Amino acid sequence: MTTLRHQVLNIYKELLYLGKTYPLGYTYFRTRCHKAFSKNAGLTEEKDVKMAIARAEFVKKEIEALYYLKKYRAMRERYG
Amino acid sequence: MSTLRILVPVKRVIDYAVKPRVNKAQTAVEIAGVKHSMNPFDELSVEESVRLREKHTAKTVEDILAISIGPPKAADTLRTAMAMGCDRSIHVEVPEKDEMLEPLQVAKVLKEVVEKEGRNLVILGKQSIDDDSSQTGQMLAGLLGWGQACGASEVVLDGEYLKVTKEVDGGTEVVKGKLPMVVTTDLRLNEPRYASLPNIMKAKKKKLEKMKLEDFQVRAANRLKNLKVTEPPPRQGGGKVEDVDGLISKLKELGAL
Repeated sequence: MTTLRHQVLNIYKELLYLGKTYPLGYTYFRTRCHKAFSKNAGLTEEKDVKMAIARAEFVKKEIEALYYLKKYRAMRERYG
Repeated sequence: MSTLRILVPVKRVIDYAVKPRVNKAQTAVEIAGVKHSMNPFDELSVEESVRLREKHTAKTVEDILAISIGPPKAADTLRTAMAMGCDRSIHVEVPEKDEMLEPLQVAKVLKEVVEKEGRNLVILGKQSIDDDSSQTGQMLAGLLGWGQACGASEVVLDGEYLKVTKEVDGGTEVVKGKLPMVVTTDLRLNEPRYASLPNIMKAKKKKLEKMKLEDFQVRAANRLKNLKVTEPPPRQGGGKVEDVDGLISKLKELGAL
């Protein structure tokens, strides 16, 4: 379980890093992110934990896409 | 197949999401305590050089060198560039002050770097979002006597040649040029990747060379002087009319009828 534990910690760290530039503010992001992780803290089955990690990876990709789109739209509006 | 040695100049600018404020003396915009990030057009050029390497073999693209000419904090921008995939970088340190370097000086420094480092492709953003000069790429191509392709929306490497699709008014234009070349990027060239935390950590191990402006044969005096910087006037609100007659009389009043 040690490696899984590290995977969870890593993805949590990465998400927090991403959240620093979240449009609604870091505190907004952090509380929600923390809640989502603590909700799954009781998972013991390896299968369940892996699924939760996959979900976190998905959220990470979504946030990256959100940032990209936000920037792209702002730039398109300004420079065409 | 020739090997590419790419130079990617990047600029640290006020973040695109920040609304710039003019300072009290009306000489420049406020930069102290404002969030800065890499110029979005430079992100595109970093991404494009990394993609060139991914699309071809690692042999084709020998080396991607990022360079920034700016205040000490521009090192962070270079870290981001390296986290996105550049191999190493050069930071030409300039003291932080209100006036920034002009495109001509930047192009002259870049020219010296290109010659010293034996680069044969320069990919840079078409303009920076702070002074919007859109001149550096063109001036660099002129100084070097190389071909240039500005505002690229697609770049294809074909042996010794680069085929570049550019967006022009009312369509696209395809130009083909022999290396060495200067390419500037437009908005729709690619989708820059996000510099993730682990990659930024890894980028800290990559080489960042520090240089000074005195190491180059460039005179630092600016040719232009900023006389005044003001904010755009606030938008005038529209008015409502009661009925058709009101509309007609209003239009007549404005001289539209």
